Amino acid sequence: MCEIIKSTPSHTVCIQNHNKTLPGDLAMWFFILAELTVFAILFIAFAVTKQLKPELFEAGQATLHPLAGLVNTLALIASSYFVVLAVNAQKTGLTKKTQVHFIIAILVACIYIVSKSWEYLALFELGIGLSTSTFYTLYFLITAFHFMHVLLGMVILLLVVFKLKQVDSDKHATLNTVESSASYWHMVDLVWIMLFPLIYVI
Amino acid sequence: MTKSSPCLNKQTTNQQSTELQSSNKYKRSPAVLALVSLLSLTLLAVYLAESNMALNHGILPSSLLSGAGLICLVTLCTIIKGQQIVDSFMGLKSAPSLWRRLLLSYIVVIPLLIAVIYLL
Repeated sequence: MCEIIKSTPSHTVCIQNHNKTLPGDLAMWFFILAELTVFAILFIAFAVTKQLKPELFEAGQATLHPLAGLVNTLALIASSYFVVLAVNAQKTGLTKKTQVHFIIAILVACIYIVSKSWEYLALFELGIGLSTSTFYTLYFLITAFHFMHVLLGMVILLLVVFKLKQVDSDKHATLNTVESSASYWHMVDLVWIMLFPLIYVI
Repeated sequence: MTKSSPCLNKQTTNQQSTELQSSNKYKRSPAVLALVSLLSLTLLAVYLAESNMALNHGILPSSLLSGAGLICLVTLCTIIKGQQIVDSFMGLKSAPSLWRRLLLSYIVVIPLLIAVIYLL
């Protein structure tokens, strides 16, 4: 497969299409698709149930804190940005910079953890739990499932930071690991991008 | 396009590395643009929802959007934000088109399906 990059009267310069590669490990992408499918089913279940019980869901949504939801969104987007910077740094061989960006991403994600925990605590103090109503069952199920994904993502990023400390590691394998972990983190962000308007906004 | 022209790999290697070096300087800017658009669209969606809520509670006399209009605009914001994450953050713009289309289909189909459910 040849992709033309420059043509002159004497000859045509072409290169093999090296750029069209999937970032990270292929297995990670199958995992991401599986995760997105699970969340898609949960989101559709939430929307359908809301249409069946609109008053119950509107009353439930009124007890949530849109500002906390906004803070969570901003924290996850900012965290994802630092992960992008980490991948770019790793591509140029700046391992130290990759580690720093990953650590910043983890710290920014901590804002989400604190904010979400505060939201849960505020609801628990009101005596609201998983079995209070259908709205809260779905709310806790979806958001806690996502919360666990964020925690897992933070652990993965932290493990990659430690792995990068191994100086003699294979450069290609290391970039693959960095890209795979970054792809997982962006998937977590992508899910929240859909979850936030569904539960907090509309 | 695939005419039997010679692939001058040695000549292009230098050219490629020069292009890669220069492009690395600008790698940050698409990510920054994506970040700014993601933050702006998030704030816009929240503002519209809050002003609509204030309208419903009689706090505001009018709102830019309400009901179906709000759902359509928030859905559009969600799709654009998802596309930004897939292309700029995940880096699937330069990935095989099958994978990019697969991921984009999720972030288009799911919000649209939810919007249709709400609008019915």
